[in-house]
Amino acid sequence: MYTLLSGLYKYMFQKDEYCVLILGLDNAGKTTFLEQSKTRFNKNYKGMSLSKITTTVGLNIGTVDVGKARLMFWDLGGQEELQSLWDKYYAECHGVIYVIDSTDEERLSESKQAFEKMVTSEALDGVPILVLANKQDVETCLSIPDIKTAFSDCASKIGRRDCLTQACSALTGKGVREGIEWMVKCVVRNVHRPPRQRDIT
Amino acid sequence: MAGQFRSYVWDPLLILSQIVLMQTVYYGSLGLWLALVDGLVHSSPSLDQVFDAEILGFSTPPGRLSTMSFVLNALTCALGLLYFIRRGKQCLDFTVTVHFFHLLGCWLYSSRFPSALTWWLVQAVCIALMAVIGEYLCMRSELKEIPLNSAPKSSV
Repeated sequence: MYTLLSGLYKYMFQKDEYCVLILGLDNAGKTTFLEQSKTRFNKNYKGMSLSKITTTVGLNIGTVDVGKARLMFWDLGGQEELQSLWDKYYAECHGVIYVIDSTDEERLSESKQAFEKMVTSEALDGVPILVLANKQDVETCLSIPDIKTAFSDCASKIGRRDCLTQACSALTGKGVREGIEWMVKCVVRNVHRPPRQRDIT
Repeated sequence: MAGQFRSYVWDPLLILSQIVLMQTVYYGSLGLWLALVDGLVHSSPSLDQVFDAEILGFSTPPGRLSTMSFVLNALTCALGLLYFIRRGKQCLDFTVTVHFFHLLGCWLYSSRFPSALTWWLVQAVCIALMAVIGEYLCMRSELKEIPLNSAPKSSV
């Protein structure tokens, strides 16, 4: 009876798990964004010093609980050599956060190319995409309209899916909560990718 | 069933039917033991022997016979655990569940909560015997080797 009741308890209160990819060029602030969201949403988490974050080799993983959903972040390395690994994760993810460095005007077209390549991937069909214009705390950064103009010819490739461009600053935490709450709303709503089923033991 | 991995997944239907089955085994074998013991001493079997908490005891002959049947029943139920539960970790759980329902049964039958000390003592001993022996038997079967290939072993 104990097994029955404890299983029932787990069945009732188990959180739905969603996997979210964090993509973007190197030095866009993906890992900083991950650390910032972990510090914001997990009460007991003592974040690592944001200034000490270096290049990601491989991937970072973070888990964040928002309401009844549990988001598992996969923060992949963004260097050109590592970008070829991105598509291995597409089939299993429920959402994508694409981080753009708003201060780096020169590499904006490179970022756009990577975004296009990602967005046209068939394995990502119907997956909600959150575009974060990061580093908005820097004064000389590009504004949201500027970035939207630069990415305007991707609009047709986005197709029928949820997509939001959000200004944020991973360093100060501005816009992080709004972005993640939007992402949760979208992955929960997306019926084509149901949450990962976990066996109750 | 040797040679089969059984990963544990929460299966409410399985657990419910195991509970029902264990309860049946419990009363079935208790009935058999009581019938046997009653047959030996030529007394008439009665439902009181199962559900009346006042009967159990060491002072009167019928009380001693019932007590003996309950203790023997714990041993047969341990076999039931081995064949129907087959998980050492769940033996205590199912043992306590069976006795919990038996407590409810006694309560309903005599319409008052069993208060006799000897009844509680006998039940505690039965729980301990059944859980420990059942767990020991299950562990023995759990420790059996698992052949990884189904092909017959070549004779060396």
